[in-house]
Amino acid sequence: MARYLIVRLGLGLVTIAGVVLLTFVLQFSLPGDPARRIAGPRASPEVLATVRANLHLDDPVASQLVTYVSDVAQGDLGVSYIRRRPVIDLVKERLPATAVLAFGGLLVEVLLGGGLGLWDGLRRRRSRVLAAGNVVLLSIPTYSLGFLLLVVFAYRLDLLPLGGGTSLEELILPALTLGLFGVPYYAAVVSESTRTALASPYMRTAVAKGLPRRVILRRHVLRNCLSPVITLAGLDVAIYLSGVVFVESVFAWPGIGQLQEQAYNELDRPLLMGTVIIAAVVVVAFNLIADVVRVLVDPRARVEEAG
Amino acid sequence: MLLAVLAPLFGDPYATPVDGLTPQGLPLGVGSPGHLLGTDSLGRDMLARVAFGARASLEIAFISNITSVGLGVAVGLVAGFYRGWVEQLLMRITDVFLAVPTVISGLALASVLGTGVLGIATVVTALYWAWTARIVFGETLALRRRTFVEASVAMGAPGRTVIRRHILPNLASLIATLAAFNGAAVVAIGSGLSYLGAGIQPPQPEWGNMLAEGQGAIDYAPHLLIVPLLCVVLTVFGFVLIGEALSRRGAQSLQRSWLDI
Repeated sequence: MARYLIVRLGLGLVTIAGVVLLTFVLQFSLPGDPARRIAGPRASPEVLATVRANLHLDDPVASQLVTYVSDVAQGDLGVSYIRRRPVIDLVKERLPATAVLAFGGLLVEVLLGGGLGLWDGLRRRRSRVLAAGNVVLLSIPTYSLGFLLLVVFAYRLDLLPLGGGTSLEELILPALTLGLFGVPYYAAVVSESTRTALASPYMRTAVAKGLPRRVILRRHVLRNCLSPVITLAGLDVAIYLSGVVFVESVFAWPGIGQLQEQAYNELDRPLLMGTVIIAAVVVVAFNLIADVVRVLVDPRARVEEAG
Repeated sequence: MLLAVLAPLFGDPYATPVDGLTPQGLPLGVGSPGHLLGTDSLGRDMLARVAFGARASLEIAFISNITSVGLGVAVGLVAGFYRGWVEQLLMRITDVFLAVPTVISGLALASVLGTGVLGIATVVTALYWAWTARIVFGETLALRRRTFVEASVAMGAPGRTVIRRHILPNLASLIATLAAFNGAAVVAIGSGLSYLGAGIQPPQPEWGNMLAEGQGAIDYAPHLLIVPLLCVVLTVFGFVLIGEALSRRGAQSLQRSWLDI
């Protein structure tokens, strides 16, 4: 177990290092002079030279890379061109809104997807309605789904606000958009593991023992579904926390995703690359966490990893 | 279903040229005389815009689907077949491309690679090849251990021959399925980037930037939003249906996060 974790951690660090390297290359090939962006179009040559020196822009590429990597390793992702504040602070400011949205989306997909999957798995035959619904949901990209919900509920029926804030009412549609998109995956996975559990010898034993249905469901069926759901949820939380650009853009939700979109449109290099690095770190971290939790709740995984 | 994918193309030759010169009061609604899908805020015919938008959207999708699947298959095959340091190197690079959520890295890449059709196609390729690579890699590893592959390696057949004669034919149906799902994802992200302003730029119609324009008109002319929206959804739907049909034959389960954008 410990060895497995160390290997995974090492691979994760290699991945993050790769992402950092990639962002460095991207920053380097971006058009425009960063010093001029910071100092403004009318800056004197002396000021430009000072800015260039501060940013180490005149150093050889190799030494710039070393500076960049060591800065990133210390959590310094640079200062936003437009907002003149450290990237880290800007992202931290937006984190609560994004976290609320992520939690809402996760709640929708786990409850709805899990419920549908369980219902489907307990049926004798697979539900065709669910299968068709899954295909339809898969086919609607998140931004399209957002627009559809927006047109129907906010515009036609006038039930919910169009967005632009973070109140509970304004959370419903974005969270639904985010969650509905994940529903097919959860439904499929839960239905599959329910079927596996029902077909297993220990299920026959449990029924033969005369355990009540409720206990069988909780102890044998639900527990069996836990591990794949945790794997899915771990990845989802990571993706949602690192900023859901489309949903936040459609509903004007003031989270990290919106910050990223603005960074793109304002050509704010450090902010854009900083969010990429943060996203990579979050994804790698949550994959690792999901792995650990999975091993903790599912004794079978421990055997697999040992062998 | 195929028609859903190709319908805009059929409409293309008949489409009236974009006419931005005659300003009109309010955008005409769907079904107005002379404008089957109405007009937009500048009085431009929506059918023509959607049809021309299809060109840009589908061009991007077509190019990047071929390049991303091609690159993914090549990387997955080589890494899975030759193993060793080649595998380590290629799969670690794959991990890097899988680690960052699609849209965020898409924006970062688009800021460097530009906003033309080729630029966006390159961005989309960079975003999606790794998914194919990961799956083809796993499948190649499994095939590598099969007796007929081991036998032909033991007989001294060169690696290229083994890949061409034994591994590629066995991967064909998987690759077809991957290409269909990849197509769906690629259409979605291509228009999505344009919607965010990182793709095809406004004077040239594209489904994504039409969405962005339609968003502002949601109160008084919802068809400006709904028409391009349906185009995107139907096209993606077409690809997903093809993929589902193929995967039922090949019994390949869908990968989570493929379409997750």
